[in-house]
Amino acid sequence: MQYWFNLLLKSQGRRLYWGIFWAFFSAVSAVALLALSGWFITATALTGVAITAGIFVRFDMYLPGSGIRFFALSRTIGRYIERIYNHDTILRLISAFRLRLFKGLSDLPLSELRATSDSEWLGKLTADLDSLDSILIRYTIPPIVATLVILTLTLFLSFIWLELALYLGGSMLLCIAVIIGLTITQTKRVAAASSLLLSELRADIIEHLQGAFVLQSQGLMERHEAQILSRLNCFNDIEKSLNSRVANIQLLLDTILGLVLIVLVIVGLYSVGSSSISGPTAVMLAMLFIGVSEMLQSIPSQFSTWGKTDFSANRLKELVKQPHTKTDPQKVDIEAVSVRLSDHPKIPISQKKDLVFLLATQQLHLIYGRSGTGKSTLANLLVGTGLSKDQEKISITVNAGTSLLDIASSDWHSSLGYLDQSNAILAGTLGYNLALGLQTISEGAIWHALEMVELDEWANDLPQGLNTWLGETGGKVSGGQARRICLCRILLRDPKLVILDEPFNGIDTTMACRIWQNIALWLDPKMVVLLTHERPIFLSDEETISEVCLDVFTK
Amino acid sequence: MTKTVGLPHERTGRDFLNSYASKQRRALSMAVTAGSLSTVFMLTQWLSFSFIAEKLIIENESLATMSYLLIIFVCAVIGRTLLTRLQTSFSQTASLCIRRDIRSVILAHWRTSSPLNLKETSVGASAAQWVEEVEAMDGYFSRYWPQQLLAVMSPLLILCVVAYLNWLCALLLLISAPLIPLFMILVGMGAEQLNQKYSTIRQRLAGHFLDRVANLSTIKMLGAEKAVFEEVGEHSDNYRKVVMKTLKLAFLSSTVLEFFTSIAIASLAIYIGFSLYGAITWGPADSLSLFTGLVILILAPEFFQPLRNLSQYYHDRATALGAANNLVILLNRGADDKPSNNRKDIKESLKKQISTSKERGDEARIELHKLCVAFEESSVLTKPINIALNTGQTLVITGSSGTGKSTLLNIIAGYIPATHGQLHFYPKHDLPIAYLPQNAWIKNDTIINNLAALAPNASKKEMLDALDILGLASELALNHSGLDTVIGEHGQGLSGGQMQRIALARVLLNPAPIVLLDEPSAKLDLISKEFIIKALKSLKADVILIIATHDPSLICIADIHLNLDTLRETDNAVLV
Repeated sequence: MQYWFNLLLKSQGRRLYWGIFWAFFSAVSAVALLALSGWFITATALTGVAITAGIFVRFDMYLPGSGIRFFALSRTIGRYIERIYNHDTILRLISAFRLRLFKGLSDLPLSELRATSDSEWLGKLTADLDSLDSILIRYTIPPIVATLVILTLTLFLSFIWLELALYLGGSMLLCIAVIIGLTITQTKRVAAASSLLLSELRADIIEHLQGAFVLQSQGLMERHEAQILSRLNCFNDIEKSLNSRVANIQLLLDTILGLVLIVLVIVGLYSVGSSSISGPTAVMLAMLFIGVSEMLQSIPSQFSTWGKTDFSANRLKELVKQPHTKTDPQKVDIEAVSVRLSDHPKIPISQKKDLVFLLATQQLHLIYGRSGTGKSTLANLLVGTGLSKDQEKISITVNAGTSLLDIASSDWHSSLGYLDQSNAILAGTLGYNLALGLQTISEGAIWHALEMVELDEWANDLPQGLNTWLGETGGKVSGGQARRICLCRILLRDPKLVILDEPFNGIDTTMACRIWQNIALWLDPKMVVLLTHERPIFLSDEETISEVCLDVFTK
Repeated sequence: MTKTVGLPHERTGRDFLNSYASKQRRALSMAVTAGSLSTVFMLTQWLSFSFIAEKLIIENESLATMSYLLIIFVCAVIGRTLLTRLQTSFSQTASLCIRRDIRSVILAHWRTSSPLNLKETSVGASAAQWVEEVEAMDGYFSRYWPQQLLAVMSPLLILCVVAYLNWLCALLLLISAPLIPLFMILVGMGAEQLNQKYSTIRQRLAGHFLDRVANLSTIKMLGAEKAVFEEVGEHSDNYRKVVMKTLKLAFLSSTVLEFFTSIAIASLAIYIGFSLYGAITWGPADSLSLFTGLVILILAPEFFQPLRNLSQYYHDRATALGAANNLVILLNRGADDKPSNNRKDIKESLKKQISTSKERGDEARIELHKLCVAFEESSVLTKPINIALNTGQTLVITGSSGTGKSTLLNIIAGYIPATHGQLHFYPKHDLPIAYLPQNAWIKNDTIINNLAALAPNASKKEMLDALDILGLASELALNHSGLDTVIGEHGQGLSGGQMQRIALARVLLNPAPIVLLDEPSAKLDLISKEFIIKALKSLKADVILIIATHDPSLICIADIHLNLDTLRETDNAVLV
């Protein structure tokens, strides 16, 4: 949590001080209004009694009267400004947090990106971030303001009765500290557990919904809910225990405040009896305390979310790396790539013999092998995602002697056109999906590329052409169409190295042949790696290609 | 435990919330009772305090003569705190029960609505609805609902006491009090609309994030991080603006309250002070003493406190209403176009499973009468199809991409209503259907749990056998730790073809009378394909098998071949 607090100080420091000032302003006004009114009434009552008794007393009624009116107004206005101001601060802050986090995420290497499941990330990004506002509006401002008000009160009282002021101020500060400490220690673990359960529930629900397609037709939805429901019961139990802990601390605080009030009333009244303070002052004392205790009352509920916030803050912090100062990616001139690997756990053939091959520009390279022989793994190695420095058994060298590890990944990616197996369609328009990541692109170029993958007619028939929304999950696009959109995306760029992993999955062979013809000219000047299950039909024999077979047992 | 509450179709979010509050009426009214009792104790506390003060300050009595008053004072202080504790525990329990009920109702809704509808709103947004939005209703039930009654009861009790002491002060309070709800309603109406927008935006924000994060690797490969980064910033800034608007209104309502409270306290204090001084002589000024003056002064803020709490909780209400309105939209959507999927609960499907394995004579049959493949009523993709299939027969559907192969499967599965023509199932309408979509559904779990999700009754041995038939057993034993291998959501550790075969293994383990396969061989090489064809051949005798594919090698197992491309030319191309 400290990390985020520091970020808060750094980015919104000035707003924080102003926020505290306004909160303090309205809190003091509220306490002063009550105390002054109490004093005023008692004083006027005493004067009234004296006057009726025929004693002449000088009493200025108008100054306290206008004081009361002033505090009434300043309390209202101060409160409104404080709340608006502080909430705006926190939303600005959350927006800054959010961007910092997204930057951190996109700086992660691709292999790590895939290692965390989406649903958990969603939780991190929205729920966790939203809960960070507590750092400001629950844990920072209220205790600081409460302390300031108590200090002010002590200072004020010390002019009247120094000893009592010190006792009262000291005991109330102690009370704040104890209650905050107790709330945090008592609820932290439970609250964190409840957060964890909630995020697991979110992951469960996402999985459940993704599975609805297969579960429902077989009537297995209810069965699959069992896990969710048992977790939900668990969550309810934990929430119950959390609630009762907070309520007990609240009970403790209320009791302490009640006892202090009782003591204060008795002490005050005794002192009036022994004439060490005046009646109005005694009443004012009680009223001051009522005002302050109203402020303290919300502390347990405010700090009860500490565990949840801490849980979120820690999870988020793991994701935020120090942002790099990144320069714009430079395309790498790829002339040749040589690959040598042995004993890779996911590429069975490399366990039998060293896998060595050379990729050259303006050439087509075919890599084929059955499913499970490590084609996608190999593609990922070429893309640079499966690589790490400690793997000595893999060496991928670009041009003459530069290791792929020494090339900045963004530079490498910008010279790469990689069609993976995922058919990723983003929620957005067709045009957005195609032009993603391109600074400038003419509509003509897009239509030309669509023509190459035979989607131009389809796109033309769409209700809004390129501006047609492809649904939140790209659901309105068939598998073959999605595949071709992904291919089209690559055709719009000018990569040096093109890696096509099963480019025509879900597309029938005649269309595959036609598209292959269409893009041949585009592929010609490039270094092309084609990964397939077997030698594809669309490749004519005369095309000059180098082949790598990943099958362990050849037929 | 999980009794599914029948779905009453509320028209508005307000009805929805009310109906759930009335289900927990007992606990909630206990909370209100405890709250009102605590007001009584509070009154006792201040009456005794003021009485002591008057006796002591004005009448100069000694404290020792008033020990009984002191005891009352102490008891009232303690009683009040205990009752407050009781109130929270009642209302929180009620809120927990309600939230659990609402969540199971949503689950029940998902159970019966078409998965294609579920796909329209992103799963991230739906999950946020189930998790966060229901959680956001907590404040409404545990705080707002009891408070809206307490906001009437407590001020009334206080007003009675004040009126007894001094009617003019009571009148002043009475005048200022009704103004407050009036302002709140005015301000609240705007807040409610805004809140609904806010909840929609929050959902969209969640969906947008899930989508962009899920595709982050694609975004990175395309070098679009910067553009998407800016997009994310823009989205969260919009979010901030909308939330600020809501809050400005929400705070305005409580500020109006604060204003009235402050003014009322100030004018009461001045009125009482001037009366006591003797400067005001009209009205019931003479009846004021230090005792009554103090009581009224202290009770004035307490009079407004429940109303202030209510306004503080008012945005709980607005948040809950916004969430409830969205929920009602979700729940009603299913009611409008109920798909044919009130399909079979698990017990039935298990019975079926046993019966298919015991008596083979129990045959199933599907008939398609002049069925056109159509997404909606208006967009018809094919000419009418007439086909009948019995157990043991296999239909292979081919056609170029986009001609409606998957749509036809979805119609048969009941996920898209058959708008043109008819679809009949025998012996009964709701036969279980095993459906293997193009992209295999893989849970973030072990292989064994992945298989068990769709084949709950299969033993470990049967699972290994099924994997063996598909050539997976040896591959998994070779490189992985067998059935306990954990597969990630993106299927880490398994290739696309392997995932596809795991999905097929589930079908083999729990074959429903009807089996739909969408491109089962798309991601497979020749050898794996041979495994699959072999497995399908052994499966086909016991089920109705319907396959949509591009793959010519699968056509050889077909009894009937339906080509959607050629269907256009010849009407009723295939008849059996």
